[in-house]
Amino acid sequence: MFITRMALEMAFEWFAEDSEGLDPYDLAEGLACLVDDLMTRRGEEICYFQIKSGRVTDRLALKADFDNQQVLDRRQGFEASYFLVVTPRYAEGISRWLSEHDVECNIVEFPPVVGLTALLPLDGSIEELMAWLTGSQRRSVWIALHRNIIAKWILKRDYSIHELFSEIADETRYQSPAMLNDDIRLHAFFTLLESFEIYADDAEAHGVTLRSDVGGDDWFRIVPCNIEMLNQFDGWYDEHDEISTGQLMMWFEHYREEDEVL
Amino acid sequence: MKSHELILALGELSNPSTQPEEYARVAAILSKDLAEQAISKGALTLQGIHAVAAVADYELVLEPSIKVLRDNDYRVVVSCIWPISDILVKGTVDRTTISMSLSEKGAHNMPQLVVMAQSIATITEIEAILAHVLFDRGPTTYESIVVSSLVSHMDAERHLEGVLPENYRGKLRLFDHRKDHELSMDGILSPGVGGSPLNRAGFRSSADSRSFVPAVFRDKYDFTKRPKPGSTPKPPTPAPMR
Repeated sequence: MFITRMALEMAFEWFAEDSEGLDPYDLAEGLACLVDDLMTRRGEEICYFQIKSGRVTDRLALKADFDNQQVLDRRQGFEASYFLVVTPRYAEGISRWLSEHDVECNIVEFPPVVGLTALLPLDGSIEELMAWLTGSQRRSVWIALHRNIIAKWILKRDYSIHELFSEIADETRYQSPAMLNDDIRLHAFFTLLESFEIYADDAEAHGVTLRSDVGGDDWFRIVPCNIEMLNQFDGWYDEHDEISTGQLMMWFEHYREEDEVL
Repeated sequence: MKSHELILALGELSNPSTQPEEYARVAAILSKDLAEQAISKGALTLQGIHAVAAVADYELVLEPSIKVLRDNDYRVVVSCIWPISDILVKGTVDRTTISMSLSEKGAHNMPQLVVMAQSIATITEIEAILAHVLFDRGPTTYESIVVSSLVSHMDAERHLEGVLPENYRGKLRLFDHRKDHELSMDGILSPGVGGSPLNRAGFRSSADSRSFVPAVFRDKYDFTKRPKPGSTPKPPTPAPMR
């Protein structure tokens, strides 16, 4: 992913490698934690990644990581794929060493252009996981979440990516407490919209996706389902004796969140 | 070799002093030429096209382009998308989320995707649009993706190729009139289109842009008023007493 690559480039610029070619802040390990969290042990296709920058000096620890993971997976009856992502110049040497030491994993050279996205499976398991982590049903939310993590990490470099990830997952999950804690009101709100053929679809950090069929065309709008929005809506709705679907859609189109920016 | 007219148009496009009407005129000239290039260079080999643009690019770029495509017997269905962009760390990290979209019937059954823009500075907006089209809309498989931008950053194509899902690698073609090198800290391409594409389209902000919905969609909104659910119908007005 572009942002991952950018973060890596910046990190290598800021945290110059020492004479041994090691990254003292172990950014790669942080990214590995992030990706490993994304790859939780769910879904049909389980992938386990280790991402290493540089020459991978502690190969025994790496072997132990893979071995332990594989033992754990076998005990739980999981069938998984194992990948080691390395920088191209060290790939051949590491591959030989792993083969000599019976480490079961696929070597992937860190793609200089395409970033991590290329490594992610396309079977929906990531999206499913992110939906679980964030309380969101919107598949693409993990992209924004990933960016948030990287951006926060750039601003607060003393955090580990793992900590940041947990923090943001928590923030995201509980970002709209007003919505989550007011199920009765929300149910009434969505039922009302349904009577005008506007349907609440997915819920995510930014709000709820509303969809409607407009003469065969597809209308899609994400609105924040918080108390402020619901109060404003109720105030407007109560002023009308009769109302149309078009009016409702336009109300949502014009609803403006305070933090919307240029 | 570019024609004299295109060179002049490109100059006007990038001049911040160019007035809105003139800007729209040159944007249309350049957009049509990109559509013609995409056809003549064999990027659009199938007849069905899903044409997508952000709201700021809809009238300025998408409408002139799809006229060319339709004149060349392509079947084009369109989507208009309302992105919200946010700078998280100046000069380094920006992000875009999609707040709203409208898609014509059948848009997601077209075999080719064409995304059109005034300019591509960082790729986050195009990336968010692609994520919305490719993922939010459910599984869709396009045979090819064409990105058409009047001007773009020199790294845009490489970065776009990098963020595409694996099954679209090698299926992207980007057409532009010029590649610029300079990006401001706010993510604006320079000289680019002489400012923010949103401002060039006459909008003050992303939220402001939702006041505009293209007529092709707005005309289909149902404004038939009906009683609110649960409300008691008003009794008929009694006949006047004699």
